[in-house]
Amino acid sequence: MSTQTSKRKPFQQKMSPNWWLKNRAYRDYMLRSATCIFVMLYALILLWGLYALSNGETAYNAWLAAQQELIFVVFHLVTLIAMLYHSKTWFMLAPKTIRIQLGATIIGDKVIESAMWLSWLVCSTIIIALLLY
Amino acid sequence: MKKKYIRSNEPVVWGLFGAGGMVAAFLLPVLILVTGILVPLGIVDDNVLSYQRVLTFSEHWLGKILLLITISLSMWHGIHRFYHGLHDFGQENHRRLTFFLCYGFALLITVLTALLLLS
Repeated sequence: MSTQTSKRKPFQQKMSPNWWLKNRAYRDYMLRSATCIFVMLYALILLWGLYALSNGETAYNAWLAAQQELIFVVFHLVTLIAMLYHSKTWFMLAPKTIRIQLGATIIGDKVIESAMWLSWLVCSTIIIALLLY
Repeated sequence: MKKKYIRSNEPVVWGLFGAGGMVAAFLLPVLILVTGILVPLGIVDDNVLSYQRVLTFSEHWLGKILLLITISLSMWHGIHRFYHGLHDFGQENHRRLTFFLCYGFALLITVLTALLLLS
């Protein structure tokens, strides 16, 4: 949030609503940002499930049954793809926020990115194993 | 003249955004796969998300923490990108109001989740 203290009316460049379609990097940026919609909707579905759970077995089973409806299955398929894209872009950003120096050498971007994917694989496998067995 | 510095709230909301980004990147793909695809389509056993099993999980303190982290931090992450996305589409009016509506919504979701887990 910026606080404007100057009395001068600042010049604001008019942007066309589709400015982000003109360049590959801008499109990727917008696509990455758009994943937030799916993150929020899925969080709300989980909250709805938690609410149903607190209302007893019948309500919870109704929530489970709702997940079988076509629209929810399609939503989850799209959301899964969006989340994998989020993971990919998030791990690409990781070297910019994590900087590890060992003696004179700085750990390379690719190493950090690969380490993130490896942790992701371990984490996902553990969760799947705990949930399914 | 003493200069008056205005503290930015960005470190706080960015911190929650970053933590939520980690949750979304590490936990959500596999959770969506199980709760949204494998169980609803009957690819795995119904018991994976049975009432008793999920209830037991949600009554354990570790389960409570994991559920709160997953739901609330995902929300803080998503709303941060949404709020800045409004700027990207040139929505510059009522910035302060939008700020409170957006992050207020994430706070509301956090409180609701915590209340459900504590009740």
